[in-house]
Amino acid sequence: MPSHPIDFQIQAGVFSTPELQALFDEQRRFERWLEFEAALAGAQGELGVIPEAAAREIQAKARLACLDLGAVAAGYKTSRNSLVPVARALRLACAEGYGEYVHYGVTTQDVLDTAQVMELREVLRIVYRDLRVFEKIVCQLARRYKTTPMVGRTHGQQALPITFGLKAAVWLAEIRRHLERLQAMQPRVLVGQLGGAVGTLAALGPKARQVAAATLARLGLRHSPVAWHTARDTVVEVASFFAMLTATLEKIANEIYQLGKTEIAELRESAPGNAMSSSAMPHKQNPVLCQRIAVLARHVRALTGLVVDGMAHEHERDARCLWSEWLAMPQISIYTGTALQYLVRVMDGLVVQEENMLRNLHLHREMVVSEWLLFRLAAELGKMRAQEKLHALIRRAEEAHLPLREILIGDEEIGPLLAAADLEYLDHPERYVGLAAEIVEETLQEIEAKQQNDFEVY
Amino acid sequence: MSIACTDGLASHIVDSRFFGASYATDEARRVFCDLRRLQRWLDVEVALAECQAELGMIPAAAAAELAACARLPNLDLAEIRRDIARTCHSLLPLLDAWQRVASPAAGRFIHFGATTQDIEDTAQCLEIRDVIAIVRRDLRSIAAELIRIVEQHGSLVMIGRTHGQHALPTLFGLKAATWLDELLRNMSRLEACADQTLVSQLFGGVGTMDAFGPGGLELLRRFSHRLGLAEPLVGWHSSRDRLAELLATMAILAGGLARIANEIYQLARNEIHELEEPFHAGKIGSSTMPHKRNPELCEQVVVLARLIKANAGLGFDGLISEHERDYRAVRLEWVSVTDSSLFLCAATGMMKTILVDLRVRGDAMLQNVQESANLLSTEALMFLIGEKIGKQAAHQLLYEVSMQAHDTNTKNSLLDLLLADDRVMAHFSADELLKAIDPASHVGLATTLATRVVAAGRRQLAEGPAAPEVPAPCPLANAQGKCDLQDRRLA
Repeated sequence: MPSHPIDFQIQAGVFSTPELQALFDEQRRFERWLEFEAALAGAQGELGVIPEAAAREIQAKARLACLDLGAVAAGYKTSRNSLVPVARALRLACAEGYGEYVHYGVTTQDVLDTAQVMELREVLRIVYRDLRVFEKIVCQLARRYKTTPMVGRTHGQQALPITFGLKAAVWLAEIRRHLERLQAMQPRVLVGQLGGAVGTLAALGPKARQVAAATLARLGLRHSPVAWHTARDTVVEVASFFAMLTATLEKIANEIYQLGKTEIAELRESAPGNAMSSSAMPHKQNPVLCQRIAVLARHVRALTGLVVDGMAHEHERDARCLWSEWLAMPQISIYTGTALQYLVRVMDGLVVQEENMLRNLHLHREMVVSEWLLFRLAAELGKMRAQEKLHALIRRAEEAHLPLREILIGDEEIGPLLAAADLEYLDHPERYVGLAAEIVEETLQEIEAKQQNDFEVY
Repeated sequence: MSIACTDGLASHIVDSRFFGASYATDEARRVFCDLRRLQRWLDVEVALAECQAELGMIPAAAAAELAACARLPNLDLAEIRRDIARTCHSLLPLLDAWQRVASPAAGRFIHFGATTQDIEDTAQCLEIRDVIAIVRRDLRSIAAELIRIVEQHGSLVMIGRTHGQHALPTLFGLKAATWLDELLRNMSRLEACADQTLVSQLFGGVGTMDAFGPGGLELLRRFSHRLGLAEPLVGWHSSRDRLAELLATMAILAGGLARIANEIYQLARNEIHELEEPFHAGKIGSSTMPHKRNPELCEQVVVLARLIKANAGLGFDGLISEHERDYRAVRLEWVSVTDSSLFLCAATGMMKTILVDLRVRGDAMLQNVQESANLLSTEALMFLIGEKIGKQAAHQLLYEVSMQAHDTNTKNSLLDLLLADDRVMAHFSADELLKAIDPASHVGLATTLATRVVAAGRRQLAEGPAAPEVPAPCPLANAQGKCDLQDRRLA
């Protein structure tokens, strides 16, 4: 009876992907805890802290299939500890009393924190993989539409001509910075936890530090010389990164949404052949995925705030802060991965309506090159004077509903200054795109050079 | 006005002599003036002393003397400032300075049995009362303006949009009526919030009223009455729900205004251009693009709403107060209540400006709705055709035809396709279909709905105070309305 939309089975995959759902599956999480217990026993056996036979037995039984899950479920009804019922089932599954060496000298949070890092490692792999795919698609868009003119907008108002490739190049640079962030955080974040009850390693015996390092090495994680039970900055770094990444995704999705408005119609999220957008209005084609991305990103941001609150840990352990992560991190991870896959799909099938871009650019074609006019006339009149003059002429053109060209030519002061060639931009604003194409080209070259140095697997 | 260096003392954007007007109004800033705040604390202390004198708790002569000298201009402000820095106490330095100008016989009855937070919380509620008066007055003006807009422009046919896409026709009057409807609820929220929030605080160190003796409750009643605040049942030093509600209410109010502002912003896009915020000659959109006319007021209302929303979160944090007192909540409020109040007053002021001269472009509305007249009337066609072939079959038929029309992308393609479709023409004449897609004939009950809201708005405005109270003038102002203290050097 799935009650959270992440887990819906009929209306499935709206707020999650099967891959991420599986990653956070309850039993998969138990398995990671057991992996930790097996690694610990292996390390302790190797270092002579526990009998080698016990280590072998624990490693052999540290699999969900060997555990009495009914007993585990019953255990959770009476135990308020998050791990004890699982550890107990592992202990009972071990033969010849070797179970006594299970979970030897460590604390619950050692297991859960380390398992969470293993989980986040998987999430980061998925995000890294999809983000690189996403970057490649946007590279193709930037290249393909490098010189496609459209109007740039500020304050929601038409400003000056740009190219669609330039807009995509701005996205690209931001995506690349996210990839760099993802790469840079790896050594900080992929660190296991093994500090014992209050971080002193008191119960692990004289070889405690070797045990800790060897255990985490078996799990492919780095070991911190000091426990981070109350130092949650690494988890918060991952959450904050996801908040930023999904905000970028929302920004791009919103751009597609806004530029897909009926009157603008420059971009469109393509719909599968038989998708129906509206139950009441058969003609509608709605940017559904773009809107879902916005929803997911907002949730990620809100949940990230909770994880940041959790940094204010008290004393040597503070469950009120820690447990917040357990609720927030799976959702943050799933929503981020889902939003990313959605935008990959949107971008892959993005409909770019170049003729509408040109149409909109020509809607106020003379107005949008006012900057050029300003600088052209500033050379003759001085910038302040040119600005005042143009303001007045543009207002007159608007109020009289006359073409600006006519007003300009007819003006006693300005008319004589403008040659026919000067007026060319008024008819062809699409030529006033500055260095857009070169900027796109340079951005692409820089990003493609960096792609050569990306490592393949996270 | 001469602009002189304030040595960094106008560093918050609300105090900027250049940009402050975008973030606060002078009227609202006067409520939170730091001198006035100290005077308010003295006023609350005087109210306490006078009530205690009435009840014989302190000598009447002492109370009279304390009232007479409790004027900020009598006190050494520089010394108060030095002592606040030295003692880290917010109130005692003021009380000490007051005591120094009183006789020893009267001075010993200052702050008799109260705790600091009693005075500061009560004074904060008096500040909030002034803020609510300003916001109430402005919301009433905005409501009146929206009523005018609905009545003046309400019958303009325009396109309704969902998912950012043209959906079905509507009337501008209905859109504006939903703004008004939300505003009316926000006006009710503000009153409900005022009823809950405007209370006194006078319960002593840990809320037991121990130091006031057996007459404590009568003292509380008189004190509250004298200040025009409601009387709380029990101390609320560490129970900050009233402030959380105020901050949340301000966030909801600001959100409602920002929705209107954003709608105007979106509908002012060049490609749409149905609405435009007031423009005046001399207003400059861009330093580099002389043609720009930017909806900057509308943008600023959205900015303010976001700031106010962020502060609302702090209100919830403040709810988690510990034990009998927890200054971590109170000190949050000093910033969050002040900022939200200033921002909200700026937003209501701007919204009035925007609405008074809002440009409503009916021709553009009509042009846009005609643009997709036949596509967008699919719902009407579905019901019309559905009468003959069943609604689900009609939905399927129109879906197919719409998608086909979408692909051919010509203005009348849907109609042409339908006129050539035997499944449809077996049942209808061309005229019937044409009538079915006239946007003006498919605005449903829009007029009735808008009229209902306007009527409710008129009722609500009539029920409110006829001449809304505005904040009282500053008691520190001289006969010319200027503050003598402003220029007095503090250092």
